[in-house]
Amino acid sequence: MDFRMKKNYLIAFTILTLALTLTACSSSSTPTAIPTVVLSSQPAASNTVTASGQVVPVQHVQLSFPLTGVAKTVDVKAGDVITAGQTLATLDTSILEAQVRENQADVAAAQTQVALLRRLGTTSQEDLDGAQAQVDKAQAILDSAKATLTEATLTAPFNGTIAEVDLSPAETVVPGQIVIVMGDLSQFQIETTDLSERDAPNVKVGQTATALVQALNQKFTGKVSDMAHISSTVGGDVVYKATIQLDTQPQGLLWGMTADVTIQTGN
Amino acid sequence: MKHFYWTSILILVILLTGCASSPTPTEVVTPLASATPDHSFISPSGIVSASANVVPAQTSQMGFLISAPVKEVDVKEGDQVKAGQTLIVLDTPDLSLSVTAAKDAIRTAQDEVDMLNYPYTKLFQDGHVVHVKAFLERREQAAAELDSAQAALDAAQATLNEGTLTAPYDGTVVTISVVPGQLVQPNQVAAVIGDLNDLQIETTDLSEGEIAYVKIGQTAMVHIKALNQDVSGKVIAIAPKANQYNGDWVFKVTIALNQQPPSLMWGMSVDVQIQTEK
Repeated sequence: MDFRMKKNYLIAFTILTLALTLTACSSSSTPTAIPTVVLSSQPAASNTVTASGQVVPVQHVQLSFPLTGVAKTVDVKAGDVITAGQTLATLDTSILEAQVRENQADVAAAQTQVALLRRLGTTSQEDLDGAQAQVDKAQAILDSAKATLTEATLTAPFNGTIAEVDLSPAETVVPGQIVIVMGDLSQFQIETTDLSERDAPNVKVGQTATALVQALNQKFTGKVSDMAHISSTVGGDVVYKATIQLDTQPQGLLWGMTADVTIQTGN
Repeated sequence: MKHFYWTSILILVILLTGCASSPTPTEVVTPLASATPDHSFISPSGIVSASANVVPAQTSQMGFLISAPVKEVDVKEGDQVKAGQTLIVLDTPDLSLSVTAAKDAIRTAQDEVDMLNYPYTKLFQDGHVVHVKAFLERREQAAAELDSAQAALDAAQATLNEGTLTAPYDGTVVTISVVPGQLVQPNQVAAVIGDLNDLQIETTDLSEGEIAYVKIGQTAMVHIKALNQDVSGKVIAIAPKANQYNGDWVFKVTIALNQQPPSLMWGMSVDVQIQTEK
């Protein structure tokens, strides 16, 4: 074995080692897949689908004013139990109230004009119709102003509990700005947050499911009551929201608690 | 042989540095469901600990609905104000003119009412009985128009009032973020007031596992770090809904202090220990 051959061996050995090193490194730098939550120590059976979920009230709403305005009163705070129709917050209505009064007076003025023309008896039908149209117009403006005035009061759409209040007196609000969040805390359900698109086709309404609420360390049974028809994205993954209706309403559940959901998808 | 020696070292170096420089795989670890409840957060004595902040029981971030330059700022930060006290006034000559115009309209409407009122008896005495009813309707109409003009003045006055910011309740001016001459935009926060005589403690990181143990009325010890002082308090509210905090779902618990230390300030961080039932 002369020196040249030895050198060739060395080069070959170096290249081989380098290649091995590079492949070894590249495989270790591949991002590891996010591990799926496994409820038991056994691997998930092929006929179940698991997902993380969150406890939410069956009925809940984010309320906002349809008007721009300044808050006059905030009548509730988080935790208050309220009944449907109860006033939650009001806007300052001094301008709107004045407008309603102005429009009421305009209706009265238009009505007397019609009465006057009728009394005179010499008015043409066209003029009478015109005066009557003015009454109708004034009345429509009044109805509109009254409707706007009622929009300055936020009322509870159903019986429930106030969850969040993000408004204080004298603060300005714009339409669509969420000022109060409320829900009916007597009925909770579980909504999945990360049910993968690969699992979604197997999940059907009516399938049985279990939900482990870690905070309470309790497992609850339920049924899939709804399956989203459109996806949402969580951290770049395409997910579908499945809703689990609980068979019983357990004590101690709170809005926002997390749960591990297992859905029996059958064969 | 020397070549082989150096090559080996080179390979070793490549091996070592090559792997070290490769990015550490970031792994999102989802916590596995444990079969037993995690009691690590609750001490044997039943104390739940949390970080918290000092906040006023009531605070308002106030702004204007209209866009106009600031005319005057009547208070400064730290001032105690009474409900209804003027804080900031905008320069709104157009709105002032609308009020003047509305006042003029009332005078015109009033003149009309007076004029129609005057010939009523005179015409009646002249025997033009048939016209009396007609004039009555004219008078009603004029009266309605006067009502309308008065309501229009109220509306103009209320619109003018939108250029004045007043304190909604007794409190302390915490922030004034505008200066005279500055143009304010609708919905821009111009002033913040709070009731600093009634400061409360709000927890920031009480997890869903701990919240099950916390009940309204429980006693809490509050350690104010900045003052190195311990104050007792009571749980007065538990948020019915979780909020996300640093990726965790947490529940806000509000604690009222039994006695407020004089130097306690809004925003101070505190440690809270809630005595729960075991």
